[in-house]
Amino acid sequence: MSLPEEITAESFLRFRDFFYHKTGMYFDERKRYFVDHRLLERLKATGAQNFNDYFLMLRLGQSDDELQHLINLMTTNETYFFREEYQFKCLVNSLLPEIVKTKGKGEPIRIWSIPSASGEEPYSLAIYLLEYWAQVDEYEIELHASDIDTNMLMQAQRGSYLKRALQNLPPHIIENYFTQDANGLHHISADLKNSISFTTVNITNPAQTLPYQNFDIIFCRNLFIYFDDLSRRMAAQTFYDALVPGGFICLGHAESMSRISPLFNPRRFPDGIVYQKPVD
Amino acid sequence: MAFIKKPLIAVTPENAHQGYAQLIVALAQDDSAGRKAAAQQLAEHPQSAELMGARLATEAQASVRAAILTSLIKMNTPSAAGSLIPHLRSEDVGLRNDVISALQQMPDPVALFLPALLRDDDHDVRIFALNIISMLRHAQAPLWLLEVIQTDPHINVCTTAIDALAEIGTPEMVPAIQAAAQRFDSSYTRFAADLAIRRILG
Repeated sequence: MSLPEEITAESFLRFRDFFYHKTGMYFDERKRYFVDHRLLERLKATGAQNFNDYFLMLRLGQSDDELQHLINLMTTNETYFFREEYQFKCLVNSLLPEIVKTKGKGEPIRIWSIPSASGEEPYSLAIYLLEYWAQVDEYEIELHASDIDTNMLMQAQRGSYLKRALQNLPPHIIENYFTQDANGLHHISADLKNSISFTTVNITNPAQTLPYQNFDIIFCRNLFIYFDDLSRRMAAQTFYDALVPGGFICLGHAESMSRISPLFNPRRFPDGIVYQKPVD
Repeated sequence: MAFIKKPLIAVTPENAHQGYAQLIVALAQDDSAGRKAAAQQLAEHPQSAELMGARLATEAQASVRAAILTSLIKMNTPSAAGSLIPHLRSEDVGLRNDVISALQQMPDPVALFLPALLRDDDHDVRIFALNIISMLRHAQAPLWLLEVIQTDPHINVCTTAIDALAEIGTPEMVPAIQAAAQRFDSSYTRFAADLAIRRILG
């Protein structure tokens, strides 16, 4: 079978609008080559004769499988410390100052990082709070990190990373919180490892998520894009139940709660947009 | 260090171990947490679909409403979809939008109701039906849209259908789109038709 020759400009727009609506990922003209290349790859893999045939199969087919193939091709699974740092800035500059207005000194602040993956996000949260939030010692901070994948959780608890995962960290942070072994692996400090509670959970199983309550802030970044519509909806409900009234949820830069659930209000802060559970 | 480690506390679910009849009673009680828990557990009782759908008309709590809709989507039965259809006539825009979004996630059950909705006397209801189709995963979707642009007398209904065809139309449908644009002779419909044709022909 010959390879379909190209994705036209109009076909690109047709795909782009659909993909944005489904996933929140938006590709401008500068990404044309990247997108076209991956679309052609999937046309070939599925045996589609042309873009129209492929697109209608993607759009109208009974299953989300093909969409998932594309999402995997269009996303970067790589994770690293201080990824999407603007949200950590938002945390210390806007979210925490708002949260502590309703708390007395010494009261707990509860933060949940899910999925924790191999630990870069929960450890980043801990480091960011210690380094950049002046009031960090005035409150008891509970950091919970969860994942459905027990192998990932073990990796997170081990806390050993290649240099690449530390690429965004300033040298003084690497020096303060990591030790390097003879093989070049960087090990996170024991203090930080001991400061986080790691748990296994399936976010779409209400029986499992029931103990996750009274969180002030949830970080759930780049998870929804891998879920189907029903799972997204169920996860949004879980997060709603897990947050205190007025609590915040931070999603990945391409994700929007507004497309998933009407339960949260978007809040725009100088460093980014987050979603808030209404106070009443 | 400012961090403390505390284990999560085991919680017994509201309405745990209740039977169907008790859950139905709980769905109408004053306590919203109990109503929500009942709505979640009733997902396992498809016979509750009609009652759950009817409850949406009076349920004021957004989180309970969301739980009912999620349970109906999980059921994914004709009865679950049918319980939502009356709310397309609701004056509550939020509820209507939530229902449209839920029905988009129930392609096979909602397909049973779409032909009748597309012939409804109320053109707003026909537009809401098109809103459902516009994001529906169903092989019949382009053909429903084609029939609308060939037969529906209302300009807003037809133009909404043309908009949706911009995404899922096929080249064979281009003459019908052109004919619909001519039938209404409005710049609004012509613009939608031109865009749809460009997208379809690539």
